[in-house]
Amino acid sequence: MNSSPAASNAASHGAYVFQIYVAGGAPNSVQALANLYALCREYFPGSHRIEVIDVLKEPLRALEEVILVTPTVVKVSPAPRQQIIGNLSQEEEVLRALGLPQKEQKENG
Amino acid sequence: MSVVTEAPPFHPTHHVGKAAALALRLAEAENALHALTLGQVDAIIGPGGKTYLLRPAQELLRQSERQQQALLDSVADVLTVVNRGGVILSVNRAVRRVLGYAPEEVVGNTLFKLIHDADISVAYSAFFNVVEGYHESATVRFRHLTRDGLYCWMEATLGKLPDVSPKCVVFSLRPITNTSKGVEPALPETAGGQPPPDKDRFLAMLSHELRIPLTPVLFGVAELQADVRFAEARPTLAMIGRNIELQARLLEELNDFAAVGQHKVRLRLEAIDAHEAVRFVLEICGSEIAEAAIEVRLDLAASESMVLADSLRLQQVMWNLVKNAVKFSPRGGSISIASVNDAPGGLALEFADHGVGIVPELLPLVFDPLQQGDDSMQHRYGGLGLGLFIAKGLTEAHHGTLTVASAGRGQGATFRLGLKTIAQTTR
Repeated sequence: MNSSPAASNAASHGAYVFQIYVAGGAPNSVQALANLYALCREYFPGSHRIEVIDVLKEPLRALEEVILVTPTVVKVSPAPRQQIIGNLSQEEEVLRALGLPQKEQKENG
Repeated sequence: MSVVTEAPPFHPTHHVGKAAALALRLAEAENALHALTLGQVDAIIGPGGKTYLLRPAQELLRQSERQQQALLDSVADVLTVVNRGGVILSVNRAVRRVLGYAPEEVVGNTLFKLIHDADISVAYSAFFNVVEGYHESATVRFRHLTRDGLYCWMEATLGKLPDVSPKCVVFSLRPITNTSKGVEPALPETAGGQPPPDKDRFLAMLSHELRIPLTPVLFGVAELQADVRFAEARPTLAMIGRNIELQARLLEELNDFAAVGQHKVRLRLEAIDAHEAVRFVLEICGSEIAEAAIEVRLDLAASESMVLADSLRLQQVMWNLVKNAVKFSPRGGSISIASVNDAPGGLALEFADHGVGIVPELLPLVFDPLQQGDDSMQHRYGGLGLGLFIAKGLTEAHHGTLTVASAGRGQGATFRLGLKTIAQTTR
Protein backbone atom coordinates (compact mmCIF):
# COMPACT_ATOMS: atom_id res chain seq x y z
CA MET A 1 0.00 0.00 0.00
CA ASN A 2 1.33 3.40 -0.90
CA SER A 3 0.89 5.98 1.81
CA SER A 4 1.68 9.65 1.61
CA PRO A 5 3.78 11.13 4.43
CA ALA A 6 0.71 12.97 5.69
CA ALA A 7 -1.30 9.77 5.70
CA SER A 8 1.28 7.80 7.67
CA ASN A 9 1.70 10.67 10.09
CA ALA A 10 -2.02 10.83 10.71
CA ALA A 11 -2.19 7.04 10.89
CA SER A 12 0.37 6.99 13.66
CA HIS A 13 -1.97 9.19 15.71
CA GLY A 14 -4.87 6.80 15.20
CA ALA A 15 -6.74 9.19 12.89
CA TYR A 16 -8.98 8.21 10.01
CA VAL A 17 -7.27 8.67 6.65
CA PHE A 18 -9.26 8.62 3.42
CA GLN A 19 -8.39 8.93 -0.20
CA ILE A 20 -11.13 9.95 -2.57
CA TYR A 21 -10.78 9.50 -6.31
CA VAL A 22 -12.90 11.95 -8.29
CA ALA A 23 -13.35 12.91 -11.96
CA GLY A 24 -13.02 16.70 -11.94
CA GLY A 25 -16.30 18.34 -11.02
CA ALA A 26 -18.55 15.51 -12.21
CA PRO A 27 -21.78 15.37 -10.19
CA ASN A 28 -21.30 12.02 -8.45
CA SER A 29 -17.73 12.96 -7.56
CA VAL A 30 -18.80 16.26 -6.08
CA GLN A 31 -21.58 14.57 -4.16
CA ALA A 32 -19.24 11.88 -2.83
CA LEU A 33 -16.76 14.51 -1.72
CA ALA A 34 -19.45 16.51 0.06
CA ASN A 35 -20.81 13.38 1.76
CA LEU A 36 -17.35 12.31 2.86
CA TYR A 37 -16.56 15.74 4.33
CA ALA A 38 -19.91 15.77 6.16
CA LEU A 39 -19.35 12.29 7.52
CA CYS A 40 -15.84 13.06 8.73
CA ARG A 41 -16.97 16.29 10.41
CA GLU A 42 -19.64 14.39 12.27
CA TYR A 43 -17.77 11.22 13.26
CA PHE A 44 -14.08 12.11 13.33
CA PRO A 45 -13.93 15.81 14.12
CA GLY A 46 -10.34 16.97 14.24
CA SER A 47 -8.95 13.50 13.68
CA HIS A 48 -9.25 12.82 10.00
CA ARG A 49 -7.34 13.37 6.78
CA ILE A 50 -8.88 13.42 3.32
CA GLU A 51 -6.72 13.27 0.22
CA VAL A 52 -8.53 14.15 -2.98
CA ILE A 53 -7.15 12.62 -6.17
CA ASP A 54 -8.55 13.91 -9.44
CA VAL A 55 -8.12 11.09 -11.92
CA LEU A 56 -8.41 13.54 -14.81
CA LYS A 57 -5.16 15.13 -13.56
CA GLU A 58 -3.46 12.12 -11.98
CA PRO A 59 -4.66 9.03 -13.82
CA LEU A 60 -1.53 7.07 -12.92
CA ARG A 61 -2.29 7.24 -9.21
CA ALA A 62 -5.65 5.63 -9.89
CA LEU A 63 -3.90 2.91 -11.86
CA GLU A 64 -1.37 2.31 -9.08
CA GLU A 65 -4.15 1.84 -6.57
CA VAL A 66 -6.20 -0.23 -9.04
CA ILE A 67 -9.12 2.19 -8.93
CA LEU A 68 -11.64 1.16 -11.57
CA VAL A 69 -14.18 3.96 -11.46
CA THR A 70 -14.88 7.30 -9.82
CA PRO A 71 -16.01 8.24 -7.31
CA THR A 72 -14.13 5.79 -5.13
CA VAL A 73 -13.30 6.38 -1.48
CA VAL A 74 -10.47 4.40 0.10
CA LYS A 75 -10.18 4.19 3.85
CA VAL A 76 -6.40 3.95 4.22
CA SER A 77 -6.33 3.73 7.99
CA PRO A 78 -7.14 2.43 10.46
CA ALA A 79 -6.86 -1.11 9.07
CA PRO A 80 -8.44 -2.88 7.40
CA ARG A 81 -8.19 -0.93 4.19
CA GLN A 82 -11.63 -0.46 2.66
CA GLN A 83 -12.88 0.75 -0.65
CA ILE A 84 -16.29 2.33 -1.19
CA ILE A 85 -17.56 2.96 -4.68
CA GLY A 86 -20.34 5.47 -5.45
CA ASN A 87 -21.50 8.87 -4.28
CA LEU A 88 -21.93 7.84 -0.59
CA SER A 89 -25.57 8.89 -0.67
CA GLN A 90 -26.68 5.84 1.36
CA GLU A 91 -25.23 7.01 4.64
CA GLU A 92 -26.33 3.99 6.70
CA GLU A 93 -24.55 1.61 4.38
CA VAL A 94 -21.37 3.66 4.57
CA LEU A 95 -21.53 3.80 8.36
CA ARG A 96 -22.13 0.08 8.60
CA ALA A 97 -19.24 -0.63 6.26
CA LEU A 98 -16.95 1.56 8.31
CA GLY A 99 -18.15 -0.09 11.53
CA LEU A 100 -19.55 3.17 12.90
CA PRO A 101 -22.70 3.59 15.00
CA GLN A 102 -25.69 4.35 12.82
CA LYS A 103 -28.03 7.25 13.37
CA GLU A 104 -31.16 5.22 14.20
CA GLN A 105 -29.23 3.28 16.80
CA LYS A 106 -27.93 6.50 18.33
CA GLU A 107 -31.41 7.98 18.48
CA ASN A 108 -33.01 4.82 19.81
CA GLY A 109 -30.26 4.18 22.31
CA MET B 1 -22.60 2.36 -3.66
CA SER B 2 -20.61 -0.73 -2.76
CA VAL B 3 -18.09 -1.56 -0.12
CA VAL B 4 -15.12 -3.88 -0.35
CA THR B 5 -13.07 -4.72 2.66
CA GLU B 6 -9.58 -5.92 1.92
CA ALA B 7 -8.50 -9.30 3.20
CA PRO B 8 -5.97 -9.33 6.06
CA PRO B 9 -2.57 -8.44 4.63
CA PHE B 10 -0.64 -11.59 5.68
CA HIS B 11 -1.32 -15.06 4.27
CA PRO B 12 0.29 -18.39 5.06
CA THR B 13 1.12 -19.25 1.48
CA HIS B 14 1.88 -17.40 -1.64
CA HIS B 15 -0.94 -19.17 -3.48
CA VAL B 16 -3.60 -18.25 -1.00
CA GLY B 17 -2.43 -14.62 -1.16
CA LYS B 18 -2.75 -14.60 -4.90
CA ALA B 19 -6.20 -16.14 -4.78
CA ALA B 20 -7.32 -13.69 -2.14
CA ALA B 21 -6.03 -10.76 -4.15
CA LEU B 22 -7.83 -12.04 -7.20
CA ALA B 23 -11.04 -12.45 -5.22
CA LEU B 24 -10.64 -8.91 -3.97
CA ARG B 25 -10.19 -7.51 -7.50
CA LEU B 26 -13.23 -9.46 -8.61
CA ALA B 27 -15.28 -8.11 -5.71
CA GLU B 28 -14.15 -4.57 -6.59
CA ALA B 29 -15.16 -5.07 -10.22
CA GLU B 30 -18.55 -6.40 -9.14
CA ASN B 31 -19.08 -3.44 -6.86
CA ALA B 32 -18.03 -0.99 -9.54
CA LEU B 33 -20.59 -2.57 -11.82
CA HIS B 34 -23.22 -2.26 -9.12
CA ALA B 35 -22.43 1.44 -8.60
CA LEU B 36 -22.64 1.88 -12.38
CA THR B 37 -26.16 0.47 -12.49
CA LEU B 38 -27.13 2.90 -9.74
CA GLY B 39 -25.85 5.80 -11.86
CA GLN B 40 -23.34 6.70 -9.16
CA VAL B 41 -20.26 6.48 -11.35
CA ASP B 42 -19.11 9.37 -13.47
CA ALA B 43 -15.83 8.09 -14.88
CA ILE B 44 -14.15 4.76 -15.68
CA ILE B 45 -10.39 4.48 -15.56
CA GLY B 46 -9.22 2.37 -18.46
CA PRO B 47 -5.87 0.84 -19.43
CA GLY B 48 -2.99 3.30 -19.34
CA GLY B 49 -4.92 5.65 -17.08
CA LYS B 50 -7.25 6.85 -19.82
CA THR B 51 -10.38 8.24 -18.21
CA TYR B 52 -13.78 7.75 -19.77
CA LEU B 53 -16.38 10.26 -18.59
CA LEU B 54 -19.82 8.72 -18.58
CA ARG B 55 -22.72 10.29 -20.44
CA PRO B 56 -25.04 10.50 -17.44
CA ALA B 57 -22.71 13.11 -16.00
CA GLN B 58 -23.01 15.26 -19.12
CA GLU B 59 -26.74 14.73 -19.21
CA LEU B 60 -26.93 15.94 -15.63
CA LEU B 61 -25.08 19.07 -16.68
CA ARG B 62 -27.50 19.62 -19.55
CA GLN B 63 -30.35 19.03 -17.17
CA SER B 64 -29.03 21.73 -14.85
CA GLU B 65 -28.73 24.09 -17.83
CA ARG B 66 -32.35 23.39 -18.69
CA GLN B 67 -33.30 24.04 -15.09
CA GLN B 68 -31.50 27.38 -15.18
CA GLN B 69 -33.24 28.35 -18.41
CA ALA B 70 -36.59 27.36 -16.89
CA LEU B 71 -35.74 29.51 -13.87
CA LEU B 72 -34.94 32.50 -16.12
CA ASP B 73 -38.14 31.95 -18.05
CA SER B 74 -40.21 31.93 -14.87
CA VAL B 75 -39.02 35.43 -13.97
CA ALA B 76 -41.58 38.18 -14.67
CA ASP B 77 -38.97 40.74 -15.77
CA VAL B 78 -37.51 40.67 -19.25
CA LEU B 79 -33.87 39.66 -18.79
CA THR B 80 -31.76 40.76 -21.73
CA VAL B 81 -28.04 40.02 -21.91
CA VAL B 82 -26.22 42.59 -24.03
CA ASN B 83 -22.57 42.56 -25.07
CA ARG B 84 -20.23 45.56 -25.15
CA GLY B 85 -21.45 46.48 -28.61
CA GLY B 86 -25.07 46.65 -27.47
CA VAL B 87 -25.98 43.43 -29.31
CA ILE B 88 -28.55 41.25 -27.56
CA LEU B 89 -27.02 37.84 -26.85
CA SER B 90 -29.94 36.23 -25.06
CA VAL B 91 -33.33 37.01 -23.65
CA ASN B 92 -35.82 35.07 -21.57
CA ARG B 93 -39.37 34.19 -22.53
CA ALA B 94 -40.87 37.13 -20.65
CA VAL B 95 -40.04 39.20 -23.73
CA ARG B 96 -43.02 37.65 -25.49
CA ARG B 97 -45.49 38.45 -22.74
CA VAL B 98 -44.18 41.96 -22.03
CA LEU B 99 -43.11 43.23 -25.47
CA GLY B 100 -44.65 40.74 -27.89
CA TYR B 101 -41.41 39.45 -29.44
CA ALA B 102 -40.35 35.84 -29.81
CA PRO B 103 -36.90 35.57 -28.17
CA GLU B 104 -35.28 34.62 -31.49
CA GLU B 105 -36.63 37.82 -33.09
CA VAL B 106 -34.73 39.93 -30.59
CA VAL B 107 -31.45 38.03 -30.22
CA GLY B 108 -28.76 39.47 -32.49
CA ASN B 109 -30.39 42.90 -32.66
CA THR B 110 -28.90 46.02 -31.17
CA LEU B 111 -30.83 46.88 -28.03
CA PHE B 112 -30.51 50.61 -28.65
CA LYS B 113 -32.38 50.26 -31.95
CA LEU B 114 -35.39 49.19 -29.88
CA ILE B 115 -35.23 52.25 -27.63
CA HIS B 116 -37.02 55.54 -28.36
CA ASP B 117 -34.70 58.13 -29.92
CA ALA B 118 -35.34 60.58 -27.12
CA ASP B 119 -34.26 58.01 -24.50
CA ILE B 120 -31.21 56.54 -26.22
CA SER B 121 -28.69 58.86 -24.63
CA VAL B 122 -29.87 58.21 -21.07
CA ALA B 123 -30.02 54.45 -21.70
CA TYR B 124 -26.64 54.42 -23.42
CA SER B 125 -25.04 56.50 -20.72
CA ALA B 126 -26.18 54.02 -18.03
CA PHE B 127 -25.03 51.11 -20.19
CA PHE B 128 -21.66 52.73 -20.82
CA ASN B 129 -21.02 53.32 -17.14
CA VAL B 130 -21.89 49.74 -16.20
CA VAL B 131 -20.10 48.03 -19.09
CA GLU B 132 -16.95 50.08 -18.48
CA GLY B 133 -17.12 49.34 -14.77
CA TYR B 134 -17.64 52.94 -13.60
CA HIS B 135 -20.87 51.88 -11.90
CA GLU B 136 -21.78 48.53 -10.34
CA SER B 137 -25.36 48.86 -11.48
CA ALA B 138 -27.79 51.45 -12.76
CA THR B 139 -31.51 51.99 -13.04
CA VAL B 140 -32.97 53.92 -15.97
CA ARG B 141 -36.34 54.47 -17.57
CA PHE B 142 -36.86 54.45 -21.28
CA ARG B 143 -39.41 53.69 -23.96
CA HIS B 144 -38.92 50.28 -25.53
CA LEU B 145 -40.35 49.44 -28.95
CA THR B 146 -42.90 46.63 -28.80
CA ARG B 147 -43.66 44.22 -31.61
CA ASP B 148 -46.89 46.15 -32.33
CA GLY B 149 -44.85 49.26 -33.14
CA LEU B 150 -45.77 51.02 -29.89
CA TYR B 151 -43.41 52.32 -27.26
CA CYS B 152 -43.76 50.96 -23.76
CA TRP B 153 -42.23 52.77 -20.78
CA MET B 154 -39.86 50.39 -19.03
CA GLU B 155 -37.74 50.59 -15.94
CA ALA B 156 -34.44 48.82 -16.42
CA THR B 157 -31.92 47.71 -13.84
CA LEU B 158 -28.51 47.14 -15.35
CA GLY B 159 -25.89 44.88 -13.87
CA LYS B 160 -23.14 42.48 -14.73
CA LEU B 161 -22.57 38.76 -14.38
CA PRO B 162 -18.98 39.02 -13.20
CA ASP B 163 -18.30 35.28 -12.98
CA VAL B 164 -20.08 34.17 -16.12
CA SER B 165 -19.67 36.91 -18.69
CA PRO B 166 -17.77 39.91 -17.35
CA LYS B 167 -18.05 41.79 -20.63
CA CYS B 168 -21.84 41.66 -20.77
CA VAL B 169 -24.58 43.70 -19.19
CA VAL B 170 -27.88 42.24 -18.05
CA PHE B 171 -30.89 44.49 -18.47
CA SER B 172 -33.70 43.53 -16.15
CA LEU B 173 -36.72 45.24 -17.71
CA ARG B 174 -40.18 45.70 -16.28
CA PRO B 175 -43.02 47.80 -17.65
CA ILE B 176 -43.92 50.91 -15.68
CA THR B 177 -47.62 50.48 -15.08
CA ASN B 178 -48.31 53.35 -12.72
CA THR B 179 -48.04 55.97 -15.42
CA SER B 180 -50.80 57.24 -17.64
CA LYS B 181 -48.50 57.09 -20.63
CA GLY B 182 -47.55 53.45 -20.25
CA VAL B 183 -47.84 52.94 -23.98
CA GLU B 184 -47.52 55.56 -26.64
CA PRO B 185 -47.42 55.42 -30.41
CA ALA B 186 -44.10 54.91 -32.10
CA LEU B 187 -42.62 57.48 -34.41
CA PRO B 188 -44.27 57.27 -37.81
CA GLU B 189 -41.30 55.77 -39.61
CA THR B 190 -40.89 52.90 -37.16
CA ALA B 191 -44.60 52.23 -36.92
CA GLY B 192 -45.05 52.21 -40.68
CA GLY B 193 -47.90 53.88 -42.53
CA GLN B 194 -48.29 57.54 -43.46
CA PRO B 195 -46.81 60.13 -41.12
CA PRO B 196 -49.06 62.96 -39.98
CA PRO B 197 -48.67 66.22 -41.93
CA ASP B 198 -46.62 67.85 -39.22
CA LYS B 199 -45.17 71.36 -39.57
CA ASP B 200 -41.74 70.45 -38.18
CA ARG B 201 -41.55 67.38 -40.32
CA PHE B 202 -42.45 69.38 -43.40
CA LEU B 203 -39.79 71.91 -42.51
CA ALA B 204 -37.19 69.19 -42.10
CA MET B 205 -38.03 67.69 -45.47
CA LEU B 206 -38.11 71.06 -47.19
CA SER B 207 -34.79 72.27 -45.82
CA HIS B 208 -33.18 68.95 -46.67
CA GLU B 209 -34.51 69.01 -50.23
CA LEU B 210 -33.44 72.63 -50.72
CA ARG B 211 -29.96 71.85 -49.41
CA ILE B 212 -29.26 69.02 -51.86
CA PRO B 213 -28.91 71.06 -55.13
CA LEU B 214 -26.48 73.48 -53.49
CA THR B 215 -23.62 71.02 -53.24
CA PRO B 216 -23.00 70.59 -57.01
CA VAL B 217 -23.33 74.36 -57.45
CA LEU B 218 -20.60 74.92 -54.83
CA PHE B 219 -18.34 72.44 -56.60
CA GLY B 220 -19.03 74.14 -59.92
CA VAL B 221 -18.14 77.55 -58.54
CA ALA B 222 -14.90 76.22 -57.03
CA GLU B 223 -14.00 74.70 -60.39
CA LEU B 224 -14.59 78.00 -62.23
CA GLN B 225 -12.56 79.90 -59.63
CA ALA B 226 -9.60 77.62 -60.33
CA ASP B 227 -9.91 78.07 -64.08
CA VAL B 228 -7.51 80.72 -65.44
CA ARG B 229 -9.90 81.59 -68.28
CA PHE B 230 -12.28 83.19 -65.76
CA ALA B 231 -9.65 85.09 -63.80
CA GLU B 232 -11.52 88.37 -64.29
CA ALA B 233 -14.74 86.91 -62.90
CA ARG B 234 -13.09 85.61 -59.70
CA PRO B 235 -14.48 88.26 -57.34
CA THR B 236 -17.99 87.56 -58.67
CA LEU B 237 -17.46 83.79 -58.37
CA ALA B 238 -16.21 84.24 -54.79
CA MET B 239 -19.35 86.25 -53.99
CA ILE B 240 -21.55 83.50 -55.49
CA GLY B 241 -19.66 80.89 -53.47
CA ARG B 242 -20.01 82.82 -50.19
CA ASN B 243 -23.73 83.30 -50.68
CA ILE B 244 -24.38 79.68 -51.55
CA GLU B 245 -22.40 78.58 -48.50
CA LEU B 246 -24.46 80.94 -46.38
CA GLN B 247 -27.64 79.59 -47.97
CA ALA B 248 -26.49 76.01 -47.20
CA ARG B 249 -25.71 76.91 -43.59
CA LEU B 250 -29.11 78.55 -43.13
CA LEU B 251 -30.82 75.48 -44.52
CA GLU B 252 -28.79 73.22 -42.23
CA GLU B 253 -29.81 75.42 -39.35
CA LEU B 254 -33.44 75.12 -40.40
CA ASN B 255 -33.07 71.35 -40.63
CA ASP B 256 -31.57 71.19 -37.14
CA PHE B 257 -34.31 73.47 -35.90
CA ALA B 258 -36.93 71.03 -37.18
CA ALA B 259 -35.09 68.04 -35.70
CA VAL B 260 -34.77 69.71 -32.29
CA GLY B 261 -38.43 70.73 -32.40
CA GLN B 262 -39.43 67.13 -33.05
CA HIS B 263 -37.01 65.79 -30.40
CA LYS B 264 -35.53 63.69 -33.15
CA VAL B 265 -31.85 64.49 -32.83
CA ARG B 266 -29.75 61.36 -33.25
CA LEU B 267 -26.64 61.31 -31.12
CA ARG B 268 -23.53 59.22 -31.60
CA LEU B 269 -22.33 59.19 -28.04
CA GLU B 270 -18.69 58.72 -27.17
CA ALA B 271 -16.40 59.74 -24.36
CA ILE B 272 -14.86 63.07 -25.27
CA ASP B 273 -12.92 65.80 -23.51
CA ALA B 274 -15.11 68.93 -23.32
CA HIS B 275 -11.99 71.09 -22.98
CA GLU B 276 -10.65 69.76 -26.27
CA ALA B 277 -14.00 70.49 -27.89
CA VAL B 278 -13.80 74.13 -26.69
CA ARG B 279 -10.31 74.55 -28.12
CA PHE B 280 -11.35 72.96 -31.39
CA VAL B 281 -14.37 75.25 -31.73
CA LEU B 282 -12.16 78.30 -31.03
CA GLU B 283 -9.90 77.17 -33.84
CA ILE B 284 -12.85 76.90 -36.23
CA CYS B 285 -14.08 80.36 -35.23
CA GLY B 286 -10.53 81.74 -35.37
CA SER B 287 -11.03 83.89 -38.46
CA GLU B 288 -14.29 85.42 -37.22
CA ILE B 289 -12.73 86.17 -33.85
CA ALA B 290 -9.67 87.72 -35.48
CA GLU B 291 -11.86 89.73 -37.87
CA ALA B 292 -13.74 91.32 -34.98
CA ALA B 293 -10.45 91.81 -33.12
CA ILE B 294 -11.84 90.00 -30.12
CA GLU B 295 -9.68 88.74 -27.32
CA VAL B 296 -10.54 85.30 -25.95
CA ARG B 297 -9.71 84.54 -22.32
CA LEU B 298 -9.60 80.83 -21.67
CA ASP B 299 -9.77 79.49 -18.12
CA LEU B 300 -10.47 75.78 -18.31
CA ALA B 301 -9.96 74.98 -14.64
CA ALA B 302 -12.20 71.92 -14.26
CA SER B 303 -10.22 68.79 -13.42
CA GLU B 304 -12.94 66.43 -14.66
CA SER B 305 -13.80 67.27 -18.26
CA MET B 306 -14.67 63.91 -19.87
CA VAL B 307 -18.29 63.79 -21.01
CA LEU B 308 -20.42 61.31 -22.91
CA ALA B 309 -21.53 63.27 -25.96
CA ASP B 310 -21.94 63.40 -29.69
CA SER B 311 -18.72 65.13 -30.64
CA LEU B 312 -20.12 67.03 -33.63
CA ARG B 313 -23.31 68.07 -31.85
CA LEU B 314 -21.51 69.27 -28.74
CA GLN B 315 -19.15 71.29 -30.93
CA GLN B 316 -22.21 72.71 -32.66
CA VAL B 317 -23.58 73.86 -29.28
CA MET B 318 -20.26 75.48 -28.37
CA TRP B 319 -19.87 76.93 -31.85
CA ASN B 320 -23.28 78.62 -31.49
CA LEU B 321 -22.34 80.03 -28.08
CA VAL B 322 -18.99 81.34 -29.28
CA LYS B 323 -20.51 82.81 -32.43
CA ASN B 324 -23.24 84.39 -30.34
CA ALA B 325 -20.69 85.92 -27.96
CA VAL B 326 -18.65 87.26 -30.86
CA LYS B 327 -21.71 88.56 -32.67
CA PHE B 328 -22.92 90.65 -29.72
CA SER B 329 -19.49 91.91 -28.65
CA PRO B 330 -18.20 95.30 -29.71
CA ARG B 331 -15.23 95.32 -32.05
CA GLY B 332 -12.04 94.90 -30.04
CA GLY B 333 -13.94 93.53 -27.04
CA SER B 334 -13.30 90.33 -25.14
CA ILE B 335 -15.04 87.09 -24.35
CA SER B 336 -14.12 84.58 -21.69
CA ILE B 337 -14.67 80.86 -21.55
CA ALA B 338 -14.29 79.13 -18.22
CA SER B 339 -14.95 75.65 -16.92
CA VAL B 340 -15.52 74.37 -13.41
CA ASN B 341 -16.67 71.16 -11.74
CA ASP B 342 -19.56 72.81 -9.95
CA ALA B 343 -20.79 69.58 -8.37
CA PRO B 344 -19.53 66.00 -8.19
CA GLY B 345 -20.04 64.59 -11.68
CA GLY B 346 -20.96 67.99 -13.05
CA LEU B 347 -19.12 70.20 -15.51
CA ALA B 348 -20.14 73.80 -16.17
CA LEU B 349 -18.78 75.72 -19.14
CA GLU B 350 -19.39 79.47 -19.10
CA PHE B 351 -19.30 81.55 -22.26
CA ALA B 352 -19.29 85.20 -21.21
CA ASP B 353 -19.22 88.29 -23.38
CA HIS B 354 -19.14 91.95 -22.43
CA GLY B 355 -21.38 93.06 -25.24
CA VAL B 356 -24.90 94.39 -25.67
CA GLY B 357 -26.41 92.29 -22.89
CA ILE B 358 -30.02 91.30 -22.49
CA VAL B 359 -32.77 93.24 -20.75
CA PRO B 360 -34.48 91.20 -18.00
CA GLU B 361 -37.83 91.06 -19.84
CA LEU B 362 -36.20 89.37 -22.83
CA LEU B 363 -34.13 86.84 -20.84
CA PRO B 364 -36.84 84.14 -20.86
CA LEU B 365 -37.19 84.53 -24.62
CA VAL B 366 -33.52 84.10 -25.51
CA PHE B 367 -33.88 80.44 -26.42
CA ASP B 368 -37.12 80.85 -28.33
CA PRO B 369 -36.77 80.41 -32.05
CA LEU B 370 -36.66 83.57 -34.18
CA GLN B 371 -36.02 85.82 -31.14
CA GLN B 372 -33.13 88.19 -31.49
CA GLY B 373 -33.75 91.17 -29.32
CA ASP B 374 -35.97 93.74 -31.04
CA ASP B 375 -36.48 94.19 -34.76
CA SER B 376 -33.63 96.62 -35.12
CA MET B 377 -31.25 94.01 -33.71
CA GLN B 378 -32.55 91.46 -36.18
CA HIS B 379 -31.37 93.65 -39.02
CA ARG B 380 -28.12 94.59 -37.39
CA TYR B 381 -26.97 91.08 -36.55
CA GLY B 382 -28.45 88.92 -39.32
CA GLY B 383 -29.20 85.19 -39.30
CA LEU B 384 -32.40 83.34 -38.52
CA GLY B 385 -31.95 83.55 -34.75
CA LEU B 386 -32.24 79.79 -34.46
CA GLY B 387 -28.73 79.18 -33.12
CA LEU B 388 -29.53 79.38 -29.41
CA PHE B 389 -32.75 77.39 -29.78
CA ILE B 390 -30.77 74.64 -31.53
CA ALA B 391 -27.97 74.83 -28.96
CA LYS B 392 -30.47 74.39 -26.12
CA GLY B 393 -32.25 71.53 -27.90
CA LEU B 394 -28.98 69.72 -28.59
CA THR B 395 -27.83 70.28 -25.01
CA GLU B 396 -31.06 68.82 -23.67
CA ALA B 397 -30.71 65.83 -25.97
CA HIS B 398 -27.44 65.27 -24.09
CA HIS B 399 -29.33 65.61 -20.78
CA GLY B 400 -27.43 68.79 -20.14
CA THR B 401 -28.64 72.28 -19.31
CA LEU B 402 -28.14 75.59 -21.06
CA THR B 403 -28.99 78.75 -19.15
CA VAL B 404 -28.33 82.44 -19.59
CA ALA B 405 -27.71 85.32 -17.23
CA SER B 406 -27.28 89.02 -17.93
CA ALA B 407 -27.20 92.08 -15.71
CA GLY B 408 -29.09 94.06 -18.34
CA ARG B 409 -28.58 96.10 -21.44
CA GLY B 410 -24.94 96.80 -22.17
CA GLN B 411 -23.83 94.53 -19.33
CA GLY B 412 -22.87 91.49 -21.43
CA ALA B 413 -24.31 88.00 -21.11
CA THR B 414 -23.11 84.68 -19.76
CA PHE B 415 -24.29 81.37 -21.13
CA ARG B 416 -23.77 78.40 -18.86
CA LEU B 417 -23.56 74.92 -20.40
CA GLY B 418 -24.04 72.22 -17.77
CA LEU B 419 -22.97 68.66 -18.58
CA LYS B 420 -22.48 65.43 -16.67
CA THR B 421 -18.96 64.06 -16.56
CA ILE B 422 -17.94 60.44 -16.78
CA ALA B 423 -15.04 58.90 -14.95
CA GLN B 424 -11.78 59.41 -16.75
CA THR B 425 -10.18 56.30 -18.15
CA THR B 426 -6.71 57.75 -18.09
CA ARG B 427 -5.19 60.54 -16.15
